[in-house]
Amino acid sequence: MYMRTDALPASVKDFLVGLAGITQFAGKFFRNFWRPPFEIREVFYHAYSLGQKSLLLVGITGLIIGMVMTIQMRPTMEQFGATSWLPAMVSISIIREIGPVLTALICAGKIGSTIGAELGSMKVTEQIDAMTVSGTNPFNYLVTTRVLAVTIMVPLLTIYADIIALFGSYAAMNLEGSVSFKLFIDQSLGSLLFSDMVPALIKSFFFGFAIALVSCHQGFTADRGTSGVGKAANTAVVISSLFVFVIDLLAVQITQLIIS
Amino acid sequence: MSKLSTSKQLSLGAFVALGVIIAIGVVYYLGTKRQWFGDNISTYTYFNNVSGLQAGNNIRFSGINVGTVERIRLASDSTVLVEMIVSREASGFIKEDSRASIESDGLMGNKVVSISAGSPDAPHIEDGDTLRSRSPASLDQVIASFKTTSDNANELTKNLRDISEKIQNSEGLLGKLLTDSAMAGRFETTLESFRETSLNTERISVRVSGMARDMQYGDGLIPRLLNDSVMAENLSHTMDSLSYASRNLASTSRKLEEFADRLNNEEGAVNLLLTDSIFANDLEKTLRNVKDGTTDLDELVQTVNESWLLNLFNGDKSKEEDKKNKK
Repeated sequence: MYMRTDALPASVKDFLVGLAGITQFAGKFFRNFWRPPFEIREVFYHAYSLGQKSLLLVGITGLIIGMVMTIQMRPTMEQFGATSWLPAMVSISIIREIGPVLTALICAGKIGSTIGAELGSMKVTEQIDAMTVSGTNPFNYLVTTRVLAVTIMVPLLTIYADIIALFGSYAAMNLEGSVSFKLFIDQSLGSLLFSDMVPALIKSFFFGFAIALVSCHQGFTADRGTSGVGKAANTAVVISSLFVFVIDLLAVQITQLIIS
Repeated sequence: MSKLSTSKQLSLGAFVALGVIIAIGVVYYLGTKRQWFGDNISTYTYFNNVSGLQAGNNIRFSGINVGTVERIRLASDSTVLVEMIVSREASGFIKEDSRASIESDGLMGNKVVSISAGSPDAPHIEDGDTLRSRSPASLDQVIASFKTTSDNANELTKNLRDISEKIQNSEGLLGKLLTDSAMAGRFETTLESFRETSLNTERISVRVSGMARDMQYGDGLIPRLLNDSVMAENLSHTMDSLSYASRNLASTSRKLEEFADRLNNEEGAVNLLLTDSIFANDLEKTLRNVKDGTTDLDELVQTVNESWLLNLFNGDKSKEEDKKNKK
């Protein structure tokens, strides 16, 4: 039995085809992941170029978000006479949600566009075809290494972003009041539970995996021509950002189910 | 194949290592907070209602977090078993007669299990011991209490309204006082009388006070009696003498009584005198003879006085005495 596809709008058909392509691409990644050669050096390189080089951007964003959240929340908390709860509220918000999602979005923008453009240009210039001809497995060399590196680096970047955001919150707390560092750490981390931290860390692995996989897929399937590179980079950012929110929604539901 | 330089490899290694160390540090910190890595003991308590207590909530002893709630499960249809992890260090201060209760950490805060201090002589708890519990006040009870208070306030307001209406309508003493000028005048007079009475009372009390002072420190008999020990001793002697005299008087009166009894007796002289006529006649005769004898004796004495022999010795003196008697 065949489904009639003529009646579907083109955008829906494109979406479904793209989703199917990404799913196939993920399957191909898991098949190739166990097959040698293991390009460890390439993993390190991408971990450095894609991950560590994003630290400054992620750090600045985290610092600003930590400060802004504290400054914005303070008047409301003061109305309830609960200023002492501010560190706890900020830390829970950052570690549970804002830290992982914000880092993932930053990475989706920076890493996704980089991967999409790199692989798209390689596709356009037929470098990938050349690698296949020369006997190198392009998927293992180009995709597996990037996906692995980004999957490892995004959680690490999330940890850094969380810590820097808490520093930003501490700085903002001391703009209008006076809170000792020890008291701030005690109040912010003391109110955290493992159920706050571990799910956030686990979902950031999925964020990294999704960003790298979608971006590699967009680069690998880039259209011929110079416009294909730009389109691949753009689409990589948009779809990976969308995936981040979808995974976040799923992660929240699964976490609630597990905790309760 | 892309190859990282040594410095970049070092940088990447430091980045990853630091991130992992931070993650492990936070995990260890949270674990320490939750008493996962320390030397702990398990202790249990039972509640009828845990009021929303959850696993992971803090255990407080003397206001300090000493552990966490490990597990909560139903023990029976009306009892909930709460398993608590308490640090061994703190357990040395928690006594077997300490009581666990469920409290709120602030108005909107989490629930905490609060352990009260037990008696100093009681032994401290050991691993696996069960603490007695104190049931928390449920929200329903609090609301019921509020409702009672609200009802009372309502009743009070109603009573106040009635009172104010009565005052407004010149009912009762207070209302008349506020509205009736004659009544107010009488009340004012009464108050004036009260004032004068109190002034008099004050004056009396001042005088009484003065009298008391005089009695204590003055020169009269009472201060001397109170303060002079010699006089008190003399008085004591006097009292002793009086006591002795009264005893003698009693004895004398007793003897007189016996004497009177004997006089009244049939064998007594008086009774004989009253009842025996012969004896009475004899006695009358005797008395008459005694009288006659006395008269004769007087005549004899007169004769002797007037005799010349005696006047020879006492002549001048008798004349002077006669003159004196005449004067």
